[in-house]
Amino acid sequence: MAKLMLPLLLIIGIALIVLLQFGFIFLLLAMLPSIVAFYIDHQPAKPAFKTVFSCNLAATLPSLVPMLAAGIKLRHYDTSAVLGNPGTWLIVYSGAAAGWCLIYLCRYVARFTVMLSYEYNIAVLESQQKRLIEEWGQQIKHPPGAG
Amino acid sequence: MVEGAASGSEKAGTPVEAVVDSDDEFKNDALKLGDFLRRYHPSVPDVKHDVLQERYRIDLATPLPELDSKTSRAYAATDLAEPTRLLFAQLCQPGSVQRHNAISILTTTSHPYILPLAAAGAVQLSRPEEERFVIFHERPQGKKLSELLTQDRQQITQSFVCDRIIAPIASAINQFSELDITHGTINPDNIYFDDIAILGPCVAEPCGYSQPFYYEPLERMQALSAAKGEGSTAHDYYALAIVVLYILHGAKHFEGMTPDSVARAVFQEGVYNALTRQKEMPEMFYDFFRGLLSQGDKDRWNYRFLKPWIDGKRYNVLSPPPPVEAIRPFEFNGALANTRRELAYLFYADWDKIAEPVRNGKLGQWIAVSLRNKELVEKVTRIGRSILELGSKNEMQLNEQLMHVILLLDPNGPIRIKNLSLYIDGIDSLCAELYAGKANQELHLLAKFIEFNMGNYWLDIQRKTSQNYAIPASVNAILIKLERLRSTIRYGGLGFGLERMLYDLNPEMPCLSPLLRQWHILTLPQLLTRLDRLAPNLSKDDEPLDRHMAAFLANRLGIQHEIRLHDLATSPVLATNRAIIALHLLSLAQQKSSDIQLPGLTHWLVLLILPTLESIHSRTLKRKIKTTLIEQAKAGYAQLLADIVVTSNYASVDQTGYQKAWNLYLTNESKIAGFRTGSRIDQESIKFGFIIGKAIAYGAFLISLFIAFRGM
Repeated sequence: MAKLMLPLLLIIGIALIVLLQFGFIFLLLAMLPSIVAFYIDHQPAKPAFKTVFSCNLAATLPSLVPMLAAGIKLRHYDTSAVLGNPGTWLIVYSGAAAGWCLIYLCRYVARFTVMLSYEYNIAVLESQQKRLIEEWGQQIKHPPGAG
Repeated sequence: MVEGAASGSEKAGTPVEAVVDSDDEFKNDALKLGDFLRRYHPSVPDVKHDVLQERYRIDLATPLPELDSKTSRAYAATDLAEPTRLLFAQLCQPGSVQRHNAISILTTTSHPYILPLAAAGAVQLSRPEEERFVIFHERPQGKKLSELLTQDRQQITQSFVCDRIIAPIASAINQFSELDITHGTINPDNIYFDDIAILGPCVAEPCGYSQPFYYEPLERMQALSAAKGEGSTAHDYYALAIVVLYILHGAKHFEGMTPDSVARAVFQEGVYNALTRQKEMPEMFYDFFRGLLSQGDKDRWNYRFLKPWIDGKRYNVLSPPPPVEAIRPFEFNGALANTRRELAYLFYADWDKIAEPVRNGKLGQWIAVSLRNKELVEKVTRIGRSILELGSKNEMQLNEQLMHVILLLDPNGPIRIKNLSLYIDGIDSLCAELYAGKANQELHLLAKFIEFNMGNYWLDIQRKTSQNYAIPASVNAILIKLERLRSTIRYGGLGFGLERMLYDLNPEMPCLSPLLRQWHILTLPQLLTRLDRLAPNLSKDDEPLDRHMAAFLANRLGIQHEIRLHDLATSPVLATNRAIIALHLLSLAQQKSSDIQLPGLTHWLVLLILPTLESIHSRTLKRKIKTTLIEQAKAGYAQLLADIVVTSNYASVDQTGYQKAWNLYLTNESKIAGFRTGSRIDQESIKFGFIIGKAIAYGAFLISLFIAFRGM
């Protein structure tokens, strides 16, 4: 899979260069936070990168899609207006920042959920242990034959 | 039951309805059983006290001490069918041995010169309140011969002795001979004289048990009083000769005699010279004494010779010469022996010193030089070599070898081993005597004697020394018993041991358990019904089965192998529990007995088994077994309880269930510990956090994609 990723990226890159032309530069600049996330996420499944990338791309899409549509229709699209608009960059990078925020916020939500689930499991197991003691006596705590 | 038990243990982990403290449960169960036992009053058959067969009544207010014996007390008795017939009853001591074979023969025998035996059996006495074996005889008329001799010596003439004493007693002995039994107690204190002599009782104790030593031939004199065996009527004729010596010379003739002095005199001078002391006597008695005081049983006169002599025939019997067998005497422990018999006697008197002359070859040399008996030399040398090899390692084997030496020297004498001297058919009564005297060391020696099959060596010697040796019936019976005992005697558990030896050797012995000593219990139904009746009183402190009862039951049930409860093998606590073994034995006994219900006994057993069941781990199984036991106890069949406790596989079900439950408990414990580990929570939170984050991000991306492309 990893071996296929590079040729695939290359093909997608070439296709995007053909379609977007100058817009491709916008895409590269817009996706910079995702590229950084890719390199700083050392986990094998790269979950942080995937989250940041999804959010970053979601914020980039409104600006990117008109470029992509013009490219498909073989029409010229003026990318300098988009590149020069600080609002565009604010949205794009805010998307990436939202991705990072999600990562940190969800950790706390997950901790709460995991704690809740563990406590439930412990309660179930403890109740089973209690029933075992009721049925087999306190000696169940010791190996068979050890008094 | 077992299915229930299995489900009980498999239920581990399902809710238990109510958790009651185990002690409280036990108390409640015990209370239920105790309550039943308190209210239990089994029907007791109306037993007439002091009466046997509704005919023979004992008058306990009239003791007859002159008719007492060593092991019985005599009381006046009456025959209710014939009130004019005066009887006396011999109340036998518990644990004493009676001659049951002779009793059964003599009850149906009538002879003018034998004191009639009316009946015998167990009688419930009123004072003391206990059951005893009682023998009813006709009360003898006149005086004891010994009393007559001290009072009216004037009337004792030669013809009086011959016609009124010797003739009737010889006729009585002849009758005994025809019945194939021996009297064994012919002496002036047991011959009664009214106008003619009649023989007194002889069945209340082992043959010759209370016979004074000088009335016994040398070989019987050397045996322990309880171990003389049945003997033969040749011994009775010998005793008759001594009685006549007593009549002729009075009691003074025997004064100062000791067993040792008589034995040494007999060895040196022969029986005739030693006992007549060469005193003057009427000429007519020369033949009588020479015929009856012979050196061996085979040469002794019997009725075939005695009857013609009584009728006036004279034989001119020669006085036997003093017995000398060896060219030179053998010196042992400061004394000289001229015969093998005498040497055997000297050896037995100092057991610890026998080994030396056998080991160093001194005995073999004497036999070779003085007796010139090559075969005997070989045997003794072989024994000497064995003793040398044994050293002091194995005392019992050394004793066995020394016993062989004595038997080789005196094959007709008693078997002598350490401090026991016995005839093989006296081993049963000796065992009972040793048991009553609590002689444990001797009992263990006797047990070893049986285990080492030493009786067989004695039999081989008898076969080799006398041609056409026919094993007497009493000896044959005991040899069969010994053979059976050999397989059981090495076991020591309940139902075996010394008690088992006692009951196997003495099948007529009642159960001597301290709980049952008051009763003469001979059969399984008697034992079971008695225990059932005792249950309300004894269930608080006692067990319904002690070593005596177990041995008695095992004997009556013919159990030959140690009791192992294979179904309970997975739980050693239960398999070796005395109460459960008791239940097993009592259930077998009840099965073998006719259909008798024993609710008292079954409740008593359950009461004893309940604490044992605490070793069952599963509460559900335990509760179920207890409830079923209490329920089944009401039926009064021990077998139903045994089916639950002994033969069902609840022990293995419990064990397997417990093993599974323990594994589950262990797994749960590690799971709980895992859930409580902080690092695991952190890892799981991060992992789960990313999943949530990704899900939201992917959602946002899809929404953005949808919005962006919708505007195209």
